[in-house]
Amino acid sequence: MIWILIKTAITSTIPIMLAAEGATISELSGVINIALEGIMLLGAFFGALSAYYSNSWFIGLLVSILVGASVGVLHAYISIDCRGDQIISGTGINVVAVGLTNMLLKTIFKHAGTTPNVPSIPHDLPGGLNILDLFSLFLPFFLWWFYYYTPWGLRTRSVGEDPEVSEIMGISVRKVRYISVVTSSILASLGGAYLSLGVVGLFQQNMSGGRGFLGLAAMIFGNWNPIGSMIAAIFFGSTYALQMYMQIRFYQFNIPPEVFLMLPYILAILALIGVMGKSHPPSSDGKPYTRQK
Amino acid sequence: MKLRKQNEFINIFTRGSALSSLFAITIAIIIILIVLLPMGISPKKAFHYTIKGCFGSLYNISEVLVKTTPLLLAGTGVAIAFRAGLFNIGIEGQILIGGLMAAYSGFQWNLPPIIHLITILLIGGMCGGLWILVPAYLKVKKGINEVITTLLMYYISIYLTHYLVVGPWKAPGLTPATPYIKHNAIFPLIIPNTRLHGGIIFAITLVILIAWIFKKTRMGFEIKAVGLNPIAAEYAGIKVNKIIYLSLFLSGVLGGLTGAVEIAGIHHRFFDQFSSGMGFDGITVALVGKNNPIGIIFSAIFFALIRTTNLEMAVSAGVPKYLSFLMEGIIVILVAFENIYQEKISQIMRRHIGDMDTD
Repeated sequence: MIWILIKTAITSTIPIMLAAEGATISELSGVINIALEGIMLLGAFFGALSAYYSNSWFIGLLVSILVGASVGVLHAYISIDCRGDQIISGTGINVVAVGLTNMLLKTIFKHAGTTPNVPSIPHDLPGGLNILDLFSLFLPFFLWWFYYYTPWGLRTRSVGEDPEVSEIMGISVRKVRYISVVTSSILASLGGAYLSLGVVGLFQQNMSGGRGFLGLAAMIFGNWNPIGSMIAAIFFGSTYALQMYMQIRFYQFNIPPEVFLMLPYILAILALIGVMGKSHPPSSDGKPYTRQK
Repeated sequence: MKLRKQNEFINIFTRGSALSSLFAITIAIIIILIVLLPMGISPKKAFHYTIKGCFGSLYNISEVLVKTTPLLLAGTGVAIAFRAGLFNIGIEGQILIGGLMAAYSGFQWNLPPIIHLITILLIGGMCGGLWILVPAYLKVKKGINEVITTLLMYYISIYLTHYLVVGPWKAPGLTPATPYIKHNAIFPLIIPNTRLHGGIIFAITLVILIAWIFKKTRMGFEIKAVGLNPIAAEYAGIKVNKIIYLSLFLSGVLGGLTGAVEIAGIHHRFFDQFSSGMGFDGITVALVGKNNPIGIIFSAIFFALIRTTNLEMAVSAGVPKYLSFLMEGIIVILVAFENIYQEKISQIMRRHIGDMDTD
């Protein structure tokens, strides 16, 4: 029983955590990426779709990464090169993701709702884990080391704090932001692939279900720190296990599942109201940068 | 005077703001027409579906207006927050809560005619406004971006309303919905045998009222000042935090009213996810309408036409109804970097009609 709950907590945490780390990476460089939700949905769908046609989860994973990277490039182009509104760009990408996945789902598989079963990522590592589990386990620690102890990481953070000064120091703001946004988007699409290829082995309509946004909340709660974001994501992910436990424990009261499904979101809001102090995003977060000539 | 009016009109175009919206729409239409080709729908056929679906009969025209009503209200709601530099991206949540509470006060209470209708609209609006106060509080006290918090509140509203319509407030029967609201709470029809109800008049009146608030009152001026530059506004003696609460509350009220008007005018009861994304449509309407009342009226009608066309295609040709989402998303993405082409467009326009401008 305990083991099942821990597994549920892990599988629910990982997509949220990948989004949270993605959000952190992007915002540390100064670009807000709320497209993560839509990218997660696109990653989940195109991952499952290509796994279905190629009959290989590996191809599915690769396509998912590719889709994440391309949408990341689009968001980066609008935010960095066009100095467009980052939140509106993200909103547009999210709406396109809902429209496109639902439309293709209906056109290709004729019935709305889900795809047929597709090959899923094998759980062949010790403890029944898969490669994405392993990757996600090390990611936050790697990022923490990267952003606090390597010259590249410190440079990225300086771009998020003060692009003008960074540019004078010889850092290419544009390059750093491009790399950050694209990496961030790839992590979100991996989160999507984890949902469709890692957990159930099929794609379900609107599968991301707000996990990308929970990841953004985890980033805020974790104060734009990779480890902090991880802890917040574990907190939100564990509520899914808690919800499962409560449903089994209190089944005789016949409490509808919706009460428990609300839990992660309610706890997120309560955590932000109660525990959280004043938030400190990177100083130039969300502000387009114009290079001085 | 007439000349000045004319020049003002040209100015809107030469400044490029209306034209950049038209540009975004044109590009999106071209993309959608290309997407439709492999489904066996030529542009000519698509145009035919628009004409038939939107103007085929009096009923079809009335349906376009029926769809315009919530877009006007939600679009205005989003625009109020935009004016203050805030983004009420979770307006769908306020629509669900406003709609649910309007339905509850509609079926639970017994009030005289008209008074009951006004009551459920007020309740719906107030609940929408209260629902957004949590994000407003987090914005003011903790500096947390309202984009994240209104979305979290949106997900809570989905599950909360779902729970209530399958649980405590469920009407007997198979469908997960509340009981029907009382007859006195229903919006009267404008044209009999259609679904066109008084909500459209209510919505237009509200749009004009809010335009007047923004143009003539101190409050409207303060909201705009905060939206342009909160730091300068603070120095000018405007209480920025108060304006954040106020503008988000008003935005939430409009969201709640959107839900309430749909319940009172169309559905007459609350059922699960009745709003079907009209809050997100409202965001597109506000963006394309440039937060300007006339712009919002035009873009609300435009998106109602798109929705109706999509519906006609879904019924006649089996085109998925998510096509309009795709189109809206493309438009929003194009609007995000309009600063790039806006400048170009206004240069071209000035070159061509510049001589008229200097008359």
